[in-house]
Amino acid sequence: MGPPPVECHHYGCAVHLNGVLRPRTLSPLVVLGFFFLGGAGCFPCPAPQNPPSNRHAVLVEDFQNRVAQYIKLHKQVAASLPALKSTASAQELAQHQRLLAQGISAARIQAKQGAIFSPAISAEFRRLIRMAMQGSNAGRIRASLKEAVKPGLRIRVNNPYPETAALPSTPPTLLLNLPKLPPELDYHLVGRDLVLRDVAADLAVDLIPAAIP
Amino acid sequence: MRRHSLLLLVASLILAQCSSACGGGVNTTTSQSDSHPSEPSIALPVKANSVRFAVIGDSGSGDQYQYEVAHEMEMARQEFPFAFVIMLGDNITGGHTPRDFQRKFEDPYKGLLDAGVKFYASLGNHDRTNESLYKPFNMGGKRYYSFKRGNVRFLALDSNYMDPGQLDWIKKQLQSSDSAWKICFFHHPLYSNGKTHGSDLDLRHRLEPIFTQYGVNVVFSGHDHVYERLKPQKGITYFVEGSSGHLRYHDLRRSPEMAAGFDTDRAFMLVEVAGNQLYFQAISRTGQTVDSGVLTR
Repeated sequence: MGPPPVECHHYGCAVHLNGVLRPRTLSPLVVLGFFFLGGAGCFPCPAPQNPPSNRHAVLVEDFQNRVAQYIKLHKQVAASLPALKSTASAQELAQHQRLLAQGISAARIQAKQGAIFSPAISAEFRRLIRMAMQGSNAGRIRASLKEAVKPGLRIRVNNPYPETAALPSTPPTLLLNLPKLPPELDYHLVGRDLVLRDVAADLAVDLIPAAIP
Repeated sequence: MRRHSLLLLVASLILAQCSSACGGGVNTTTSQSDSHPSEPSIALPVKANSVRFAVIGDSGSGDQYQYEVAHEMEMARQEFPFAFVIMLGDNITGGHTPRDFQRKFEDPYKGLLDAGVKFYASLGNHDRTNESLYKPFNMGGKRYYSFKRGNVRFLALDSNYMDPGQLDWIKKQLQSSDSAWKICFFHHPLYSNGKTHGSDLDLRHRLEPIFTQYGVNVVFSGHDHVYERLKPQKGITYFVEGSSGHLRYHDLRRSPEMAAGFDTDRAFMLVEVAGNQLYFQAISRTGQTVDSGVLTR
């Protein structure tokens, strides 16, 4: 019996990213379980001990792990470039951003949509966004989102955000409901899609299509 | 039938003219096509030791109108020596190449920059976050930051991305400030009668309770390419100054909330804070005063 073909959403269970088991997400309980099963290839998913209410926590943890992996990569690439401090040279700013974006893009050349927002994480984000847009918030957020709709603006994962396009503001009520990000990343809504952006590289790291109901 | 159509056309022209020129405080005393630049007449007291600054928003068009507004600011500074300028976002619109920074900021404001005038920027939706590292914008590498001049605490906010971390930071900054005046500036307006964008309701829902709780006096925003002063909302006076480079002609809708408006040419503002008074003057690209007054705290 091989590893489960779909992602497991129980707390502490390992999650598959691009078909590779990511062992650093294993909880001690799972490691012990694996050990007692003799490592016979049967990967235990401790569902009975973990109620469904933990599903959110598992998915957020998975998301944060994936983000942490990305940040590690971002920092490695940034460390290979000359440090950028405040400068009066717009040339220096543009060059640093370009080199950072190129370095990150090259380092994750295989990255496709879903590398961070897996189907399960995307579904959870859609749920969080739906929740944020209920009740009295709905009208306010929809009004703010009118500006996010830019017909024809196409965002491609692992590519720079279009240079001349506006960066729509993200309604604060949505941000209150979404998992916190490190300062290197932010969320932006482009049309109905939620884009995860690398701030310094101005790079689309990943996106969730039709995140807005 | 033909005569009837003609009458209708005439009537609608009269109505259109009246809706923009007669009502809602929308000032249309000048227009960009029929007025020539003149030296502005300063309506501010220029008191000793006062805090004096200029306000520009949505300035980064790089077109001749931006240069003309900048020239008008230089002329105004001869009579009203302001020390710094606050920028309400969309500082660089369109491309962000080094040439864009030169054409949309360094060249138009060269006279002011050379005279030692400092610019404090906030980010708009057309800006890129790395502008925070551009030294002439004095953002210290931060998306949002604070500084103090005299008895005024200024908070430059990033309304593109009002995350919980920034909301907490605003509360702490305001709570710990003992300044007599608390002024916030950022791109997206909490109140605006601009037809193109209007008020950002979700941002208002999150920020207004903090502003009222911690005693913010005045808020400056841009985004809508017009000038507008609103009647105080919950004790706070809101200005929209988003026409220092770009303009949306006749974009203001009449509203009971509007105290004054100007949507037929570009504009900038001069502000002076002296003791318990804040004096303001909005000046058009051609040097006409389109609004002025004093707020008392």
